[in-house]
Amino acid sequence: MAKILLVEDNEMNRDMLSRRLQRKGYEIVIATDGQQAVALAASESPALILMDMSLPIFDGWEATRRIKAADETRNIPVIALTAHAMAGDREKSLEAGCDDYDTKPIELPRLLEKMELLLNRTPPA
Amino acid sequence: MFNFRSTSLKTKLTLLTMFTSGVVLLMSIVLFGINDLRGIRRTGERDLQSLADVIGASAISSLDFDDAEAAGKALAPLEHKPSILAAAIYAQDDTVLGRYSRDAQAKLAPPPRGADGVHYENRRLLIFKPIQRGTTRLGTIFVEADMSQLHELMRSYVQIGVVILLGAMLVAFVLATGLQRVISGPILALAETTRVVSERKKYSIRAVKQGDDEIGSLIDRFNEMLGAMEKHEKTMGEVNEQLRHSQQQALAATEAKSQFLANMSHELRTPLNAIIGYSEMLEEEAQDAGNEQFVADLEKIHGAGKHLLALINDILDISKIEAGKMELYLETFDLKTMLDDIVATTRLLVQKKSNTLVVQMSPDLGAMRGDLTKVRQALFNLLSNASKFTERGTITLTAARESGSDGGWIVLKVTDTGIGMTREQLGRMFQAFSQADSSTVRKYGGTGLGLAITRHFCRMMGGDVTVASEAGAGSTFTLRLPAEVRDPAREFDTDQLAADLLPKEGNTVLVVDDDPSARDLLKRFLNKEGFHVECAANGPDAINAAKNIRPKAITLDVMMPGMDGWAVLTKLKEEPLVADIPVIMLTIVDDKHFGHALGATEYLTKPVDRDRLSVVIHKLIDPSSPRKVLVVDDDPAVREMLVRTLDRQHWEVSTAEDGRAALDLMATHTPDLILLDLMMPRMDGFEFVSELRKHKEWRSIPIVVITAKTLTKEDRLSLQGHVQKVLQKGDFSLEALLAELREIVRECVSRTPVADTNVEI
Repeated sequence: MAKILLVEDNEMNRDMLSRRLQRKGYEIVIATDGQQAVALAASESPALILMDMSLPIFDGWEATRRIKAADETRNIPVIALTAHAMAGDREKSLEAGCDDYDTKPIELPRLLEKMELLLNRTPPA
Repeated sequence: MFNFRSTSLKTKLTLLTMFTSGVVLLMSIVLFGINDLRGIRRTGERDLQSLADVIGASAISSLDFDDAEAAGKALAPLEHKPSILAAAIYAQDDTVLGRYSRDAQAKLAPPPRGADGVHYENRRLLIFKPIQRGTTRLGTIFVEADMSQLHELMRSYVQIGVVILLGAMLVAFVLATGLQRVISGPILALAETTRVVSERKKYSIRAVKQGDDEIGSLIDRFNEMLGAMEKHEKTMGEVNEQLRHSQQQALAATEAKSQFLANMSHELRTPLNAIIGYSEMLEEEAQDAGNEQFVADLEKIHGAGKHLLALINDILDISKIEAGKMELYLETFDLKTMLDDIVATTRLLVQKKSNTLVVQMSPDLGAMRGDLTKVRQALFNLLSNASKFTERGTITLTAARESGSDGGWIVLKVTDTGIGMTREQLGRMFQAFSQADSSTVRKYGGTGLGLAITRHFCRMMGGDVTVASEAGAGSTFTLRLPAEVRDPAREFDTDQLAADLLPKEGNTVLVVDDDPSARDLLKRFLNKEGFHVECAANGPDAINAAKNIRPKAITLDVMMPGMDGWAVLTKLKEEPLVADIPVIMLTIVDDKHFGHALGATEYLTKPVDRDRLSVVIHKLIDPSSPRKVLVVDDDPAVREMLVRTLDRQHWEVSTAEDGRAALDLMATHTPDLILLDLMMPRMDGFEFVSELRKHKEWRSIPIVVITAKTLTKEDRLSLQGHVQKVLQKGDFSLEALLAELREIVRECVSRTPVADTNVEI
């Protein structure tokens, strides 16, 4: 099953989402800040990245920009997850290079749908 | 004319004093004079009578003997009396016995004997007096005395009187001028004090009291009044200060509250996310494990969590709205996609109370430009309300496009067959924190914020939400939103303001079209071109408007219900008052000859080509009179380019190759706008600007500097306040330049009355 890089600094959210995704059969790699996210994206080559936006060291937008700037990670799809359900954030995320966007609290079926769409689109890693 | 009432107090007092003393003095002089003269006259009379008695006595013997000689002798002593002009002695039979005349030559015949007594005749005193012995009358003596002495005396009296009067008046004037200060001084001081008080609003000063008279007490009262006012003002100031303080506190509190709510909502959501997420996860696990008991309970936790989240979201929204921080994010989206999406989201909600959702979408829905999130939320609120208050009923969602007015409207209707509302409940419907009544909260839950938020969102987008309801029969909520939402903060204000500033006089175009969106489009375009626009929606209105406004031109749509464009055109051309106004026909059907035959000046086919309309309309009227522009540049290529560009835009262009030439040209030909290069031979741009400043009538002409020079700080300082705009050569497009120029001219036109002060700043 696909390897997912989950970038989330909130412990509970991270635990919850990773367990739920694991139950759905995904392999989960965890990053807790922007820097780690960029590093793991390069070393683990995940099939997809779920990126929280408010992160320590550097935020999700910056992490996404770096991931999309590097040749080896450019093709990994990124879904932005943000707590601010604002239209402006969506544009901001897409501008940073995110492939899709979802708001927190996570509605799992909706997120899974978006993930599957992106996973099927890209050739399997 | 001299108006005594309006003269100053000083003058009044002086005049009064002088008038009074003058009248008194004059009266006494006259009375004394008259008395004196009477005394003198009486003395004269008495003297003359005793003289007559003496002479009469000495003439008795001559009368006895009828001796004329003796009578003459008796009269002889009169020679020593120079005032005696003539005398005579009459015998008993009134014949003249003897006579005397001072002027010997005159030999005047004495008058016939008159009655005894004293008579005045031509400044002469005539006396007839009997000559008696005992009681026997022997004859009569007549004496005539010259009284001109008395007249001399009278004249000198008058002269002396006048001199005394004048002298006295002079003294009175000097004294009055000095003494009136006693009265006018305090009053004037009081007046000055009141002036200072009212001008400077300084209630702490006091009028100075100079005496204990009525003015003194007036000043006392005045000072008391000032004291009261000072106290009052002080209290007012304190109250104001308190109010300001309270207001600031209130504002700060509101701000803090909104901030707190926003933060709290965010803080609350984080743990809530965990609750919702974990309950959902456990629910799934319980399902997988087949533990039905847990599934039901976990579903409840999950549902309650989501409900709580919705409430928190509402609170966050309303706090943002109250803090004025809610903003619009405009995007264009497909309505059908949005509606399908929302129907999918609400399906479960609708089915919860066994309701049926019926969706009716008109096929021409198309796209909408608005804030997608807010439209969704508004519609979601209505749908969730409907499902909340309806059981085993039908909820109908209708969506339609109304192409009626201003770019069209999107109308979204949610109708339910639920409990409905009474009239009183409807009144409180859209207020924040209020539901139909408190029992509703217990029964149905919710914050009561949903409708307040919905209404606010709709109004932000230029639409509104309305409700029709009947208790027991259900409700219909209608969202009416513009198909093209305009961001109020960005475009609308500036556009409309600029349009309002356009001069109306001699610059109005009448737009006649039954389609509001077409009217709006034309209005915007013509506003941008510098015209003031009036609109009419049908033929009769158009004809009335044309007569009232007398526009410079009319654009006339052909296809209109009722009276069509051709009928309007014919009618316009029949009215002598408006027959001369050029009419531009706008039509879908190309029927040029017909139009010209009816008297149309120009003929354009719809959709209107803006460039073409611009050319036509500028050809027909000169939009704003200031269209004369002077180009000052030493580079012939630049001049040529600017002339060509401006010429095409119907500017009247003149050129000069340097400042000196420009000044010469301006002596005969004042432009409305100057385009100025800085680096030029003979007289450069800086010198030209400072020369221009020396002429008052040229100061208000707007100047736009177009230069290749990189301006130093000093350059900028020397130009600052004197030129409207500095454009860097090669840095701007001709299109931008034209827009800029049009804007500057428009500004200058709209503020013409204060042009001087504005430009000098």
